Amino acid sequence: MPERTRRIMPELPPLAEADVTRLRRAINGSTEGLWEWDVPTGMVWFSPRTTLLLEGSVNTPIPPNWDALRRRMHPDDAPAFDAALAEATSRGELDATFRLQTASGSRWFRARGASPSDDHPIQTVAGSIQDTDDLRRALDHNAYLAAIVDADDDAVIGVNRDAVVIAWNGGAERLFGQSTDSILGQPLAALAPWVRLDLLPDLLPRALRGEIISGQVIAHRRENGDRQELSLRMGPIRDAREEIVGASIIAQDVTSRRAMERRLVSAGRDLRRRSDELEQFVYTVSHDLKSPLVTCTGYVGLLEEDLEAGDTESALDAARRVRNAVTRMNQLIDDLLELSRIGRSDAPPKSLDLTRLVAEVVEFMRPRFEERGARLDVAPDLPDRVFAVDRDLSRALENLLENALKYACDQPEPVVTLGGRHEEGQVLLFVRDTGPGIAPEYHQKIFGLFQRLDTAKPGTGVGLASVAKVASVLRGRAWVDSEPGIGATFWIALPDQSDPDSLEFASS
Amino acid sequence: MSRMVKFLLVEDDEDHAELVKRNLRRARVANSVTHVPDGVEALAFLRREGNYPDAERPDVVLLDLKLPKLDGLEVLTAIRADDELRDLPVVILTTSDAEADRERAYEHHVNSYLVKPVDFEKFRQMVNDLSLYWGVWNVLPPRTDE
Repeated sequence: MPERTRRIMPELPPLAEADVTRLRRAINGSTEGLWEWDVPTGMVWFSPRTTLLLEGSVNTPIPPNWDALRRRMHPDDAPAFDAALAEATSRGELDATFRLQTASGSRWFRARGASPSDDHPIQTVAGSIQDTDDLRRALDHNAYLAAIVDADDDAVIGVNRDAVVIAWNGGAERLFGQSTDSILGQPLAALAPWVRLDLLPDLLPRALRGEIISGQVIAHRRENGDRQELSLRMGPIRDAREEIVGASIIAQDVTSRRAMERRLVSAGRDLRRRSDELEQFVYTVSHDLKSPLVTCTGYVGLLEEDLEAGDTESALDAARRVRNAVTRMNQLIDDLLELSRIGRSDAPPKSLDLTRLVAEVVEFMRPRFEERGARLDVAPDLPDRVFAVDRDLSRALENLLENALKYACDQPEPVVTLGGRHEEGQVLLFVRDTGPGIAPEYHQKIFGLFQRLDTAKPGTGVGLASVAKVASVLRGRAWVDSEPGIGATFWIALPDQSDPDSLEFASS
Repeated sequence: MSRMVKFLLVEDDEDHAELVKRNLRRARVANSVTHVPDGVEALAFLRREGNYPDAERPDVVLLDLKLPKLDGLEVLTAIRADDELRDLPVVILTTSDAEADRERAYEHHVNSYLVKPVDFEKFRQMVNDLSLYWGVWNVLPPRTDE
């Protein structure tokens, strides 16, 4: 027999009639079901409230034993309930949580009770049964939300008014490389300097003043030197009385998304440029190729009349014009095909030996200059290398030299200089002539397709358009400096070493 | 009542200019043609500037669209902005039937827009009708310099 040590409950004094009435009212008024278990007989007394909880009505009493409960119990919870009963008979205390099928579906309950005396073996256990379903669901819901927040890739951070971290999810751990345990309770300023600098000085005080901040993107270098872009959303945290007690910070790593956006914008721009080019091309086919056709049919018609009239001289003139028109049409087609080849993906740009390229171009052009009595100089200090397409850059320089020769030869002692230099991340190439020069109003126009200033000179108006295209597909540009009467200098600027991804070669 | 109609032909393509002139010579309406090769020359002629101090005001300007230096639309705009020239009849004569070109030409108050036919017979017919229309049927604005 174990020794009697203490009473669990003090011995109750005898009850007066009024006390019994009060007690009955209390039992009926309680929101909890009350029960008393007579351990030796296994009988259980349930208060009417218990019946109400389980059946939804006091008029359907439940049988006075635990079996009544166990039959309604979720099979998963029954073993634990039995264990709790067994424990109650040895320790005099009961605490069990289980689901019961009730009139309003399956709900969570918690039964707690204790032996009113320390008799051994335990004779009686009495206690309450409580519907904990709403509480349980709320707790589950909270845990569920917390799990979602924790698993989110976005960093979710909460700080109090003093910018001390009070919430730090898994996303924040991953994004900032700082564990929740190490940062909770620390000032946000304890973060690595690269984070702190961007977050704190400006945005956080605004959020603490009640402003909702979204769409803010900050860029910075991580500790390892990588560039990172974070999209920030911030807002105040308010308590039940609507007082601002802190701020929430949601940070999202948008580095790759932003890079993709930039690539898309760039691709869109290229596409637009190509579409414009195509439109120009279609226009050209309809207009510039039709023009020699009109000449051909027109003069063939006149030629027939001349032959009928026996006017040999006029007939010969007409025939000559037809032949010229056909030749010009052929040249137009060749030039257009060449223009369309510039920037095609079959010849990606690479680092070229500029000295060799210039030497080859000069060697190719030299005979034509000598033929026309013009001097061709190469300026010293050419950059060693240039990032371009060999074939395209050579043709562009030949085009510029050919133009220079065409116009410089109108002057006495014509001199054309080809040169280049390195300047601010780009290679500048130039062709300078001592020709008549070009008035400023035409400086832009001459780079347009089929734009010709002097139709007395041979040419189709494709040369400078293709020079401009050679530069533009490499993200460079072409332009002219000139003053009438002094000469003209045509420039091509090519970026040193472009990001291959950003060039349209890669995507075409 | 037929009269001599005076054309100013603004055309950079020498072959086309000659083609128009030769066909105009065979037209049934008496006419004269002055040919200039680009837009700058055309405006100089109309304003009696530079090489053209004694230029006679034409009855009609036949204007190509694609011209060196100043293109056809720029010439048209200049004519319509010039108090002396604004009522001058201008006919666009071009190989382009592109919608954008037509639209812009009419926006700049061209009087007529003609596309050069590739077919020779049609070309001749068009030139003949052109002289007939401007020389016989169409009543020109009153001339201030006559």
